[in-house]
Amino acid sequence: MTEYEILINPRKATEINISQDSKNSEDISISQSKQQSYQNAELTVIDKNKTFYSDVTIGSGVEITIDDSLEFEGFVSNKRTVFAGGAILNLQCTGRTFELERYTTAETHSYNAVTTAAIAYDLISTYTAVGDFDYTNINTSDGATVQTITFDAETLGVCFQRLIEFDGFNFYVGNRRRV
Amino acid sequence: MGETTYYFNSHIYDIWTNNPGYMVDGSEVNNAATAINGDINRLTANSYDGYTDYGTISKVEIRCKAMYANSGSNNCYVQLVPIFGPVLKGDTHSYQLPLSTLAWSSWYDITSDTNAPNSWAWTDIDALNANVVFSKTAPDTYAAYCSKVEIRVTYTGPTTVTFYFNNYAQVAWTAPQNMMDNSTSTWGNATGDSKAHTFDDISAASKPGAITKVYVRWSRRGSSNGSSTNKIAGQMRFTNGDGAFIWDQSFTANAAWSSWTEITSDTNAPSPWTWTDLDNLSITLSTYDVDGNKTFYISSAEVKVEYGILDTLEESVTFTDSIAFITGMPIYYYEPSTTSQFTISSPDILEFSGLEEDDSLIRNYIIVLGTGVRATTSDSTSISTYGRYTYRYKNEDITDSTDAATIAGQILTNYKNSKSKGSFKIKGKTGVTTRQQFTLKMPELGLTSEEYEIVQYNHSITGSGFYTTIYFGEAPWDITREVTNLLRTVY
Repeated sequence: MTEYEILINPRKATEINISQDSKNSEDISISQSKQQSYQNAELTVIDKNKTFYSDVTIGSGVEITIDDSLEFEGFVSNKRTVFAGGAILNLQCTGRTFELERYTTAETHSYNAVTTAAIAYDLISTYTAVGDFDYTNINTSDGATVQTITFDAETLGVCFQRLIEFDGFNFYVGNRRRV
Repeated sequence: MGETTYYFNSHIYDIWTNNPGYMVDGSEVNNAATAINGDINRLTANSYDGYTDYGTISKVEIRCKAMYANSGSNNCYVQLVPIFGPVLKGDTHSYQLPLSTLAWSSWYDITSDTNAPNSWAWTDIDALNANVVFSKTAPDTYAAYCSKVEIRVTYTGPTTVTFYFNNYAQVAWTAPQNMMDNSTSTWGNATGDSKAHTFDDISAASKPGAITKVYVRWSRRGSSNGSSTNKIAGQMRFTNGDGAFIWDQSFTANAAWSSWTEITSDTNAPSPWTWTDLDNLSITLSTYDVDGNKTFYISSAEVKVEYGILDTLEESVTFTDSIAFITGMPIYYYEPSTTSQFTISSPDILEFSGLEEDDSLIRNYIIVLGTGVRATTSDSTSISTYGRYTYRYKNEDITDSTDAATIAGQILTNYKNSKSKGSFKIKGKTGVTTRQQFTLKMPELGLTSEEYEIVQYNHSITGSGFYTTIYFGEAPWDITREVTNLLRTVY
């Protein structure tokens, strides 16, 4: 039997833990498409105590583990409550890779004769705060050499999409390692 | 360094007149009492579990919680006398009792008392008894009350424990039972090359500490001195696979233990080690004998474990780490693997869309237009096969003709060949990602072993179970996703 666990506001005082044992989850859907770099998840939750709508905010962290595999980590991007024999909360969630959309380059930031991976590495190190991302997985010698590219106040997500036009690579933001 | 405290929890003789059992019930409130000078309550057991080895004992202390009542004299004492072994008396440690309020005495150091062990072992803690004696200097009605007697043990870690392998799984050696009896005077033996003997079955009861180092050794001798062509090969068998070879050629005709070899970070060794890992541990000892005429003897094989006692600071650090992120969000930027990651066969498939192929994704003549630059590329084979399909890609951000050519090449690589597309639904499968290659086997459709790329997947958990739908070749049109992307771009 499939075992799953949904954590909303994980490791916070308002953490909501939903599992097959709590019997208050109706539907879970996780999807990702090649055309969209980040995952989406949709949850339908029975709000027995009518507290979820206030406890869950836009931006609340969400983790979905299925059979001990962390399949989704992201945040709530839409919430909606309805009454259907009881309070029902519908949540739309966006995956971690969307975090790249929260950072923007300066105007006219150019690279010349540099590999795509080196550009990706430099963009992260230049425009994100120390500790936000771990980019040690990027091998700066990978990818195709770009003769000239200029970013003009673009999000890092858009920058990465432009880079993979050159090399056909894939990119994503993974789940933060914990101990 | 660590400390642990126990209390006496059993007594005999019932000499204290009122509720002598209250002195050993664990409560600091319930109290035993007596008004008779010289009354002894003999405490015979304590709350130490009897087997845990926390490390090397450096100090042992005792104390009691007591008082006297019926005011008028302050010359009332409880005398604590440790009993070792179990009838040898230690020194007398006197506690002058406070009036009317139960209070703890000082800790009395009994480590070096008369008759105390020269070197304390945990079995000595287990065997420790004590007499609790009421002493007063004048005959009167004053009574002593005592609620609890404690033992405090100070120790240093890490500590070490050694196990021997007590079973075997192969019988290539003669008298294998002699190699599992924990004796270094009975021997198993083998003559010639490649004779393997696997030792098994450590019984490693869990200890209260994290394993820091693990070692292995064996007791052996040979018909000839060991050499590069006459030696023993040890190899650990871990749950995750085999360890590296441990070559032993330093033996002689005289019996001796091999050196301890650390296997903590051996190939395939668990990380971190648990006590269960020790239970599952095996080692194979094989002969390496180029001449094929040497005889090897082994009497026993052992594992030594060092483990530490977590002190308060370490526990605190562990707790903090357990709720903290130790890295930022990892970013991956990589070339997708072109090898199949898993196989889906007909019996796995619950629903299948059918397999479809058309020319909608064929592009074999590419024109890339930038700002003042352009590049054109084509694939003659594809054009010959399908006819010419032109794709004109315009992007003002491209300002270099080489870059335009690079992008044109990427587009051509991806679209010069026609792709089959479709989808299927299977029982839930975790670990799926887009861009993964997989193998599809549906012989009833003539697909014996075809590879495709995942372009979209969907996990769903409903009342009927967990299912995964995988799309390959071309993702289905999703207006919601397109609108979402558009909105994010606009705003």
